[in-house]
Amino acid sequence: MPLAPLAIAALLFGSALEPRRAADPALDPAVALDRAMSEAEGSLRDGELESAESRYRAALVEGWLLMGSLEAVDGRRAAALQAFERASTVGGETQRAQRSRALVLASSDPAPWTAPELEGVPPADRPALRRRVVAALASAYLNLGVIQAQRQRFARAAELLETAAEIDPAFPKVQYSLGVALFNAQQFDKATGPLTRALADQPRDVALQRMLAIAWLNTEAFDKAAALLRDDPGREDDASLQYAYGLALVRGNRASEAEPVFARLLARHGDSAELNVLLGQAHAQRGDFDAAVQSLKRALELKPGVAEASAALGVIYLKQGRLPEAEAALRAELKGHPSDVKTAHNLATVLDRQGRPQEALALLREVLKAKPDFADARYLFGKVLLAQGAAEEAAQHLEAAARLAPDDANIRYQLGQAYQKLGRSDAAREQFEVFQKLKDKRRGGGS
Amino acid sequence: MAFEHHSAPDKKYIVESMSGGVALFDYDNDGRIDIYLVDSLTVETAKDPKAARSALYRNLGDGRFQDVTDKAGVAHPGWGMGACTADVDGDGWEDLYVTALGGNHLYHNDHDGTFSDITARAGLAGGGWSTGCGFADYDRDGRLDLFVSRYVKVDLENLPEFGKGKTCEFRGIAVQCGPRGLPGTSDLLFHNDGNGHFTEVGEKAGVSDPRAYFGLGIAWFDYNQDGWPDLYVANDSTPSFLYLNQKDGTFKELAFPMGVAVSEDGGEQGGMGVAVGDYDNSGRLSVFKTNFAEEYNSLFHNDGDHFTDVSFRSKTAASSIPFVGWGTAFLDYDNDGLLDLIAVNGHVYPQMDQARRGASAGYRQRKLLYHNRGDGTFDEVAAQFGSALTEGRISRGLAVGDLDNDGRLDLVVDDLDGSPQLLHNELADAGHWLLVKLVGKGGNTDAIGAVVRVKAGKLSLMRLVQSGTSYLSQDDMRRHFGLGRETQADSLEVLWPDGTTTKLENVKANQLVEIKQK
Repeated sequence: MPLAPLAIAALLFGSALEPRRAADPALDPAVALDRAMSEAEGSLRDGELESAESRYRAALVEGWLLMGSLEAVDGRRAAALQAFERASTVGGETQRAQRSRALVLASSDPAPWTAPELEGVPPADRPALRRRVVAALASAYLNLGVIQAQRQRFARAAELLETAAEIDPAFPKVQYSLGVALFNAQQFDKATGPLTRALADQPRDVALQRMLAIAWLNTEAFDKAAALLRDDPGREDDASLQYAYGLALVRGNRASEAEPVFARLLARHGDSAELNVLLGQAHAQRGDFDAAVQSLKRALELKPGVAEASAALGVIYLKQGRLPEAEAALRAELKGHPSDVKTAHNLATVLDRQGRPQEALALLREVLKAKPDFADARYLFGKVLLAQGAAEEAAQHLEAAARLAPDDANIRYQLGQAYQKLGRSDAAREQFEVFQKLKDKRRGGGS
Repeated sequence: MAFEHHSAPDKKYIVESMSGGVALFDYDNDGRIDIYLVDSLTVETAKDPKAARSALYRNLGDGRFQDVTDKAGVAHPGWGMGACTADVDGDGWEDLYVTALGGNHLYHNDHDGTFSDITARAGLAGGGWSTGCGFADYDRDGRLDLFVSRYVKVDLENLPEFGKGKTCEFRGIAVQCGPRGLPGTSDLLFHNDGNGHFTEVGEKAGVSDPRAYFGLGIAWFDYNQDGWPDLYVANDSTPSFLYLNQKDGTFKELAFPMGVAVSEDGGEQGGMGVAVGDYDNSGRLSVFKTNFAEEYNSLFHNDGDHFTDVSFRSKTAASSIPFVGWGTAFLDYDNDGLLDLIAVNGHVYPQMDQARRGASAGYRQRKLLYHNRGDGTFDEVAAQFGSALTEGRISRGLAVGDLDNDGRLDLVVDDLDGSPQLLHNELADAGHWLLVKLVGKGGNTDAIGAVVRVKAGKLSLMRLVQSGTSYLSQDDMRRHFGLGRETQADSLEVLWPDGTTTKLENVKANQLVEIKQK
């Protein structure tokens, strides 16, 4: 079920640079970098985003050139060349970068290159200078990311913020900003890492906790989502949070905990189709098919065609062996949601069980076209083919299914049957042995 | 028939849920099939063997039966589970073997309406929790051997506590524990030494079940038609076994490669009863296995070199999903020349009626009767036969036989709780028929393992003589053929267990034919 993304949090942060040394500007090789950063921050404070963006890019050029020189004098030629390359690509300023690259390449290895701008910096001061450059680069990328986020270009923002985090993972707010940008770019699987790290830094940030919970929900880490939502102080009063909590519980096969959550939601916020769908799914999970059918039918009454209601009904009928009813319900779901490959797969199962293998195969071809890595569909396709006598083709699909889901015992069984039909007894035996091991593992030992 | 099967009302222990075999055999050689019903103890009555009373009913031939148990001396086999029969010593009189928890019993038929318990002398006590049994001459030495499946290791003094533990719950309610979570136990093969004594050779023969699966129904049958009896064992909650007879006293377990170990999707099913029959008149014996609820009963079609799970394709699977299946049989109930199917059902948890049932039916369950359409599919038609089949019961054992020799197959069902059912076939428009009784020579007078083939018009039928059928039960060993409109069998051929054949031609329909091996 798609979830509305949370509103992006405010993302304007200061550069938080290390305090600059009161040094003779003539001897300070970072003077250009500092100037560019100051100007960029000034533009940012004035709300001049385009100017700020341009100045941050200028700062990035200065920063990468200086970083290249620092790498070069320390004898890290590859890192130096990479830094000069980045200076070329970020700012469009190539002359100085190219010259520096050429000088590094021309210098004799392994003798370190002497950068002219670092001549006045004693070796003992270089680490401090490096820290200043790193901080400036991280800050520049961070704020460039924030500017992109303000323009709702979350994917681009996330790229810039990833670079900031790569340069300095501990830079203030970088994990938070990256997590939020990734979340808003709906890259939930990538968002969970930075959001988790940010929450570790700010454990009382309720908004952050909710964002992480929703990210876990979207990555099907239902128990983690439920754990965060369970502890949310505002959940009982917030219908959407309560709904998300119930959803996490249902999806995590914890229907017995979900049912009272939904009951409270119904009592406090009234009847809704979506709620009845989830309630139906929770009842079904707990084996109360009568109550599940009642809730799902109620959902369809409230909102004909509501997502997942007919699909869930279809699955219940399939489990009960009521195949014509299952077919009708699953077709109804697909009418409203034709791209629902899971429901299409279930319909193919029903068709096969009704002795209509050709229809099942045709449907599965469509499913696999839309989602080639759908292991269950690949398995069923192979199984139906095998029953039709196409053992060679079946084996290919079952092998693909086994690659996609190597711990699925049933795929191994079917693959063994395909090999058996092909006269490959040894290969079949291997698969049956894997099957037995996986089943034994599942039940925790022997029989 | 006043028999009552005993069981504790709450079935708090798995040992109180599994009993109830029934055997149909002519113990007094009067040409009428008699009935033996197995009773069981409970945890509460475990120390009083007389608290359970199994019963032998003599068929009087006028639709009535007489309780002859006490005279016969077969009332108290202990914690009885099931039964199978055979003329173990080749004297022409049927003997009775009863499986039990705590030691099995071989009752020798003394030809005068009484039996002697010769278990100890024969070495057939077995021990542990025995369930299925069946005799066959697996090494073709002319003497009948015996296979016994066993279920779970139990210690009555230390039973797993009701409702305590993950495998003692069903959808949140407390139920009996097992079989999952309990230790299984090995199976037994007793070789007939020919001197009235048997020797247990299961391990040596390769049928001992070292993985200790939960064995229940069994079937001896020659699936590959090489003349040597093979063996199928239905295991509960674990893969089933198909043992190929290697003709040297040993077997090779081939259930996985042959496609009969698990469901078509690799599901380990709760196998209970087994039926074997040529339902599509292909000349090959297919396997039907009853399973637990929310699985489905399995029909494995014998393709010759492999079996295919055709349960859904045959339209027998979907209707079976709600039921826990037990006794089962292929039978041509309407004599149309096609083997139909029956399965009797009943849940193991009385608490089921208070539980969220999912796709399962309640505790008491109706029967399933499938009419063979002749195209590889079946129609479930129990409702056409009224309450005899649709009444909810807690059925276990089922045996099929022609109790009144009228050419229509009758049914006897042993229920876990209460009285059994004797279902008399009164189908008015049934077709013509033949009933064939074989008399083998040598030690196997029942001709167990013989195959009878009948050709009648376009019909080409095949039946197998078996000891140990269904769920812990014994069908009438006389073989029944429905002939539809055909008034005679053009040919009737017997392939005897020793490989010799007898062929008759132009056999008139509607009669009992007795064929003696020469």
